Amino acid sequence: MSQHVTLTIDDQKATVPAGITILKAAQQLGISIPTICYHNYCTANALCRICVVEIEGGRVLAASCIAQVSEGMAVKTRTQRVTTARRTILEMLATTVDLSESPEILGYLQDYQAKPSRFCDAERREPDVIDDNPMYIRDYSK
Amino acid sequence: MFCLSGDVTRPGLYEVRFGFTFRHLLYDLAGGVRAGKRMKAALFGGAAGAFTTEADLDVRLSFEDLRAAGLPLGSGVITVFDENRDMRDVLLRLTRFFNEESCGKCFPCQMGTRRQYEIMQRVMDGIVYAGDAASLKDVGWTMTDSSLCGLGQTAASALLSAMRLWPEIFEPQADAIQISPDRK
Repeated sequence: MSQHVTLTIDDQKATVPAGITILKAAQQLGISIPTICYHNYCTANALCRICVVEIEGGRVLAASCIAQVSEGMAVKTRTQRVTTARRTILEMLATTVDLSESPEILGYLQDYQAKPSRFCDAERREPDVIDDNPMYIRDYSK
Repeated sequence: MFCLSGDVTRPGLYEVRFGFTFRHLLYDLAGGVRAGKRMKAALFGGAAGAFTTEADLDVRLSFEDLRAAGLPLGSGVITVFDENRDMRDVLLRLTRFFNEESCGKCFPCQMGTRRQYEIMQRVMDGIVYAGDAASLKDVGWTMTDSSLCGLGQTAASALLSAMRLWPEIFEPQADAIQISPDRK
C-alpha cells in the first residue's frame, strides 16, 4: 500500500500521509474546522461532534477529528447539513453551560450565527464545583 | 415475527410470512382496532421508528416494501393508536424515553434529547411558540446527522414523522389555551 493518499476537501485536491485524520488533512490545506473536545496532545474521542464534515456517499456526517482519510474521498466541510448541525450544537451548548470563559466557542457562536435564545425552556446545568485536590478545580457548569 | 401492541383487540406476537399486508395482520389476524374504533396512527419500529396512518394499511410487510413506503421496521414492532389517543401524549412519552436513555457521551444527543423533551413538555401544557417546529426540526436533524451512535441517530425519527403527519400539533398559540385532544 502506498504511504500517501489523495483526496479532495472542499474541491481542493490534496495528497497526504495515509492514516491521518480529515481534520489534520484539512489543516494542511489551510481549511479550518471548529473543534471543542479535541486537543492536539490528547486522544480524540469525537464527543462534541462540532467537527463533523460531509463525506460524499456517507449516510451520516463524520467526526473529522477521528475519521481517517482514504483514497479518492470527497469531503465537504461546510454544507447545509454541516452548518445546521454545528449551529444547533452550539445553540444547545450555550443554553446548557456557561460559556463566558470560552472565547473560542463564543467566536464560533458568532461564525455560525447561533441564536441560543430559541431554547427558552432549557435547563442550565449547574453542578457544584468540585475542589478535591491541590492541583485543579473542576467546574462542570462551564 | 411481528409484535403488534397498543389499541388492538388481540395484541401479541404474530408469526407471518413477509409479504402480507398490514391490514391483514391487524384486521384478519389481530381482530382489528380495539372496541371497534378507527385507527389514528401506527408506530412502526418502536420508539426509534416512524408513524403512519390508515393510508398505509395496504403496505406489504417486508423490508423492501416498507423501505419503498418510507417506513422503518426495526425488530418488527407495530404499535396501534386509536382515534381517541392524544398524539401529543404519545410524543411526550417518546421524548421522555430518549431523554432518559441517552448515554450522555456525545453533545448532540445528550442535549438534543433534553431539548426535544423540554419543548414537548410545554406543548403538552398547551403552549406552542412560533419557533417550536423549526427548533424541533433542527434538533432532530442534528441528532440524526451527527450523533455518535444509532440511538441519537433515531431519537428524533418518530417525532419528525409526527410533525409531517400532524403539523397542527406545533401550530403556535396566541396565548396559553388548552388544545383539545379531539383531533382527526
